[in-house]
Amino acid sequence: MRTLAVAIERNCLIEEEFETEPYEAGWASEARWFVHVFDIKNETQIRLVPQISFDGLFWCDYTGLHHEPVALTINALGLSSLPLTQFGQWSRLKVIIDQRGRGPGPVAGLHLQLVLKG
Amino acid sequence: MNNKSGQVFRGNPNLERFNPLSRIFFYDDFDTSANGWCELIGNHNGDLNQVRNCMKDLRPPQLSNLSFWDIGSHGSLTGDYALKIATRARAEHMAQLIKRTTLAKPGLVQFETYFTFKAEQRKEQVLQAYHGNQAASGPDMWDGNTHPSEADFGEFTFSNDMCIGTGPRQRAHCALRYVNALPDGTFPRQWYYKTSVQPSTKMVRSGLVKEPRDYHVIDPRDWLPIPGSKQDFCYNELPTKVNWHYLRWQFDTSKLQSVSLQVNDLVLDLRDIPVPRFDHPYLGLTNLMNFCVDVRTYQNVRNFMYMDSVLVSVES
Repeated sequence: MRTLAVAIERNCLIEEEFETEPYEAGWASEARWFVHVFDIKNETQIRLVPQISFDGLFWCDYTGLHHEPVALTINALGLSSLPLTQFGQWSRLKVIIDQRGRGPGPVAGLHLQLVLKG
Repeated sequence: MNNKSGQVFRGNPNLERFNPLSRIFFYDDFDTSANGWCELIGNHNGDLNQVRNCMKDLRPPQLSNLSFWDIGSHGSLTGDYALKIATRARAEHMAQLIKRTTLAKPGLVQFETYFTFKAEQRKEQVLQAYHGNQAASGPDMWDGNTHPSEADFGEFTFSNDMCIGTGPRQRAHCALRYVNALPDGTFPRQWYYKTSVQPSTKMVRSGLVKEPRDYHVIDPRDWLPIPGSKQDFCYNELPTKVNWHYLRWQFDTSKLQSVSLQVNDLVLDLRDIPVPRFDHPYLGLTNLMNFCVDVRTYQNVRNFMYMDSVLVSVES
């Protein structure tokens, strides 16, 4: 059994929507994203959509075993996680700001971490 | 095949493709693990905001089977996977992995690897072609042999961190950098050594130096070409065709010096190449011996460095 824990985004201040860097892990049979929210503005809601790829260039949304959409919504401080199976070779998160808290500057601060096993 | 001590590696293809010194220190085959090659992060006191800019985003290791958009998995030299280091798609971003060890005894150390490097295929080139337009390297620009992605790969550096005591001038980094293409599209294609120390967190916090633009040196101009080190690599025409290269680098921890570098058919004597030492002392680093590999892009294009395997040996 191999395991690997990697910090995909560290101390990441969210101002705009973006996708995380492509991460290649064809060897892993399971993955779990950890989302550590260390700062977030009131009334902010962020949606994290896992995406997968054949090549690291072209991406589609990851879906569950019954092809249902999968996403993790955050609106408060703390740690949450999102499991992936059958994700193929590449993984990333699309970070969508559904609701933006008032005031200038970043709406949230996150660590985005990935744990892989295979 | 015998090494200098007469040890026989014949029948063990994993070792036979290397030329180790008398004692193998570690052999890393990245088929099953990152083998202790991890992301370098700058020093901090628990507050990640204290991590310096040049050391806060050096990217995690990946185990890759070199999959590309046109053919799928290219694969490594042997087995399934290679260790991958990837920059962001942002000019001057650098990614670095480190493996941390200590010295059993000062002396000769040899680092060997089979490696390769590539720039990421520009997605817009593929999209333009899909949409019926000319790819970025249209027929007028593309001769069927050289590919514009060659100019998208910046540089890679093999380096170490050695500390043999707690006094001044007992710590040094050897760093050997290959520069492929500069931002202006020219191709130095040459190896370089550095002429200043790597600004440490201690140096920056004390005000001795500014936060560097180039991680390795105080001033980005602090590099000189190694005499006779011009080298063309087999890029092989596409960003999705990979050929593996052999590298053998010797350094002497008792002298804090590089000794030699072999890269494929290029062999360089480095004994007269000066290695800058830190004038001030460091505590808690006695017998430190770290190995580092980094890659830096000069374009808004990801640059990748891959190592199929690594063997480090020492003269016991």
